[in-house]
Amino acid sequence: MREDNQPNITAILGGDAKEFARLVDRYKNVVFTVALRMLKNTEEAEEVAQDTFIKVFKSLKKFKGESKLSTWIYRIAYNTCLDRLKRRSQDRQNVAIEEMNGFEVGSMDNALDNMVRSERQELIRACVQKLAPKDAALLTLFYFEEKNLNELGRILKMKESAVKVGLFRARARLAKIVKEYLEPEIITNYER
Amino acid sequence: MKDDKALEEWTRTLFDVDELESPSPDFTRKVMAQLQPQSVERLRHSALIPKWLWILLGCCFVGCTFFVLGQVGIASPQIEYSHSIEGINTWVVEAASGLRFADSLGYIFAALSAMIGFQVILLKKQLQGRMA
Repeated sequence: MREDNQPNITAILGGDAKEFARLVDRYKNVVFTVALRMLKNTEEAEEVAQDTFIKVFKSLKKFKGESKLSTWIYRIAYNTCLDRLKRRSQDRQNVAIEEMNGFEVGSMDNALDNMVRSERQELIRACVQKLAPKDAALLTLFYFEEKNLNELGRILKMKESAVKVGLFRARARLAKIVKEYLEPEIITNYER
Repeated sequence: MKDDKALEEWTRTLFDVDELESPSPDFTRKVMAQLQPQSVERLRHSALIPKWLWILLGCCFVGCTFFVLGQVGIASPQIEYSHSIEGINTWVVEAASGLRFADSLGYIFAALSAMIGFQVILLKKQLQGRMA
């Protein structure tokens, strides 16, 4: 599977450093974002992102093109993050899922509408920070990279059905965290 | 089900305002700096002609030499060394007398050109790969 404007793998394997730098430039933001949201630490995320690209370089000859290059790179990034987490041996406790009804989602929407873009961005980043690494990776790859269930399954070594359930749970957990953040705002809106 | 859809829509609008994070500005340079020694290492360790081929070529060369030296007694139409060193009867001289200079040189040159030709093809391929 070939993506548009994909770096030339043959040239990289032939020793073309510039082409590899192009590959790094192209995928570094997604790899870094996934690492940051899983590890919740900027320095570690940068280190892991660098390790990811070194692993990509070393094992590029093993890439057979069975999946998209981006899927393959994100899988390496995800596994490198998991290794780092294992070394740290501290996994974030997941937030218990609560049923979220349409009314609650609507009230959160109203509260979010009162915020300016930068405030909303800050809020979502703070809330994603509270998610478990796997949920954070799932949502980041699904919404930023628009990966489909099959590709997400390849990256996270999960079945499509498990990805679907995982996504639903991750959204619900995120909504619960956002709700906790917005509680005072929602109450103010309700009182008006 | 309706609530699931609402949640999905809500999450999408939430992520719409979010952006990808960026690593440090010199991120790519740092990665490339870490890769440089590795690629040099890789170059240092990958021989142009593999060891087995050198052994094979060596065997062929030794085989050819013995074959030529084994042709003792066959008169050479060209230079015969035995005339100039009469009286010394050693196996080396006998072997040398069998040397047909022109043919032996031919073999050596053929082997040498095969080796150089092979090296040139491999070198060209390697350089083209690096310049691509």
